[in-house]
Amino acid sequence: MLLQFNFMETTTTLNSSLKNQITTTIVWARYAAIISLVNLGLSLLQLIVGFIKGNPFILVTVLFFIISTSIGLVLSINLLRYSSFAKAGIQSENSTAFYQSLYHLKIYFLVMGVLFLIAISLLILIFIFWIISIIITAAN
Amino acid sequence: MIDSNESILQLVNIDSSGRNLLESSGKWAKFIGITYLTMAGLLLVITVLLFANLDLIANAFMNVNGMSQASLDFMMGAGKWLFVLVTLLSFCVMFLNGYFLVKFGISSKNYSHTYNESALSNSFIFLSRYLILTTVLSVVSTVSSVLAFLYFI
Repeated sequence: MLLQFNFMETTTTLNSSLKNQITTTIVWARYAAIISLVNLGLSLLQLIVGFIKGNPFILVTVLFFIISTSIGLVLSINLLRYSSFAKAGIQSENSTAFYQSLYHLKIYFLVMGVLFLIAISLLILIFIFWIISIIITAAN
Repeated sequence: MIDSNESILQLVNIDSSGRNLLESSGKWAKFIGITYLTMAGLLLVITVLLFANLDLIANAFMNVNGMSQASLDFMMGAGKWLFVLVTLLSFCVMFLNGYFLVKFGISSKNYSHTYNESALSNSFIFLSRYLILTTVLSVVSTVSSVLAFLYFI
């Protein structure tokens, strides 16, 4: 039964038009990832300059830098891996490499989605606390 | 459809595992896209409300913070239009980001359910548009970071 299912499975072969469209995503994913990494480097430079100049909020700045850099690095690396695996898959006609690229694309969107969920939850919490504070103030 | 110049032995195929990966990416992209579209809508509503009550807000600020007449004139004149321009730009960026992501999500889901080649093609077209927009925004962010850095150093 399983053997029959696998045999009957529908597959899509990438033709040259599809490959061209995927190549466009490969190129732009690489650009986006590299520019994000440059941005992270600039943030590090700003942190160092702030440290030298004696920024009074250095601890908060370092904490913010660590969080934003970790997120930025995960996103950029996954985008870069999508780009390189997809390129390898298309150039060497290797389906496994192409699936690896799709896996990294999935991780990229998953990380972004989870971050959005956290941000939405925080916003809802802030809104609830704001409503509670209004009710308490009105009651007093 | 196989091109005549492609080797029959070495071809990239997308089977169920590839479709699942693409559909999963599409689901998250659609969620992010819907969030962007909601944010864009909220931004538009808040801007319209602020714009409609600008006189009231400016007077309230004047009473609370002692805003000068020059600041008030700027706020009611060029500042108002600058605010509209910035808000419109933000709205466009959020809307386009959301639109491309939602379309990518819909196309990838469509492909994994119908195995339609044009749906797969559309999903990569919208993904590339989203990536182009992301790159442009990253460039703008980098340039403004460099300018701010040079200004403060």
